[in-house]
Amino acid sequence: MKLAHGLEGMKLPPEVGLMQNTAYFRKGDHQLMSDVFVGQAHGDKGNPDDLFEVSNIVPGEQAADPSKAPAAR
Amino acid sequence: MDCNAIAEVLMSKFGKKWFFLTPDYAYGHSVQGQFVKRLEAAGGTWNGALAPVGTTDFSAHLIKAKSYAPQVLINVMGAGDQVNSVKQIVQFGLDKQMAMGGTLFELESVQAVQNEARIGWWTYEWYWNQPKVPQVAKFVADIRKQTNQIATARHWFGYVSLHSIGRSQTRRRASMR
Repeated sequence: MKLAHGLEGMKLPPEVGLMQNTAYFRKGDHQLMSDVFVGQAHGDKGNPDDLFEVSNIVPGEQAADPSKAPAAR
Repeated sequence: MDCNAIAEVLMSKFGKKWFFLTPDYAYGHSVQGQFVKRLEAAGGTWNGALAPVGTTDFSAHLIKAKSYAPQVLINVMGAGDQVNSVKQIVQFGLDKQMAMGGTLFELESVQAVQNEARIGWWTYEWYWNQPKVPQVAKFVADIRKQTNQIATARHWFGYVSLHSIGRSQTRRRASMR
């Protein structure tokens, strides 16, 4: 419980979140609100690690369903 | 979360007649349920097949999909089951008849299939190629140095989890002062 409370509303700095928008732990259910990368898989075009083209980055709060947990006190 | 991000893309790009290939356990049922909710709200129609975890032969399910002739095949299978199913979808030629997509087709899984099976529209929880985020390049280089592999969402999960636990405790202690 102490750990969970410590996460509430905590924002991750860029060097930890490693994404365009600031990732944070939502109050209530402690779900990480992180970017969702929408795109298309593709074959090897010369770099064997590059097999996905990101077309859109959706911020976590836009992608997530509303928290079902009671509001944090 | 991933479902919400990809559903609109699939409907707008390809249409609202979908077929689900779904693993027959709670996760699969849950993901399919979220997709169906959004699809039906938009006036879409669907059919589907439930495949047990560990299925190696998807032919009966793919025949059913072909017969239904959807605009999109939503592949909810995971890990090795998804790799096998995608290989068979391409072998059956279904990729020429319908789009494929879903929530996740992880980089490790895409690497595990032949080039022509690296297809479809998906969401990733994290991806290594982020030119607008300079901190990512160092992380990718560090993972490469340690593992000789490209960084994937699995590396990011572990990294974020450990840092989050540490930072939350520092934060909690600071708030008690």
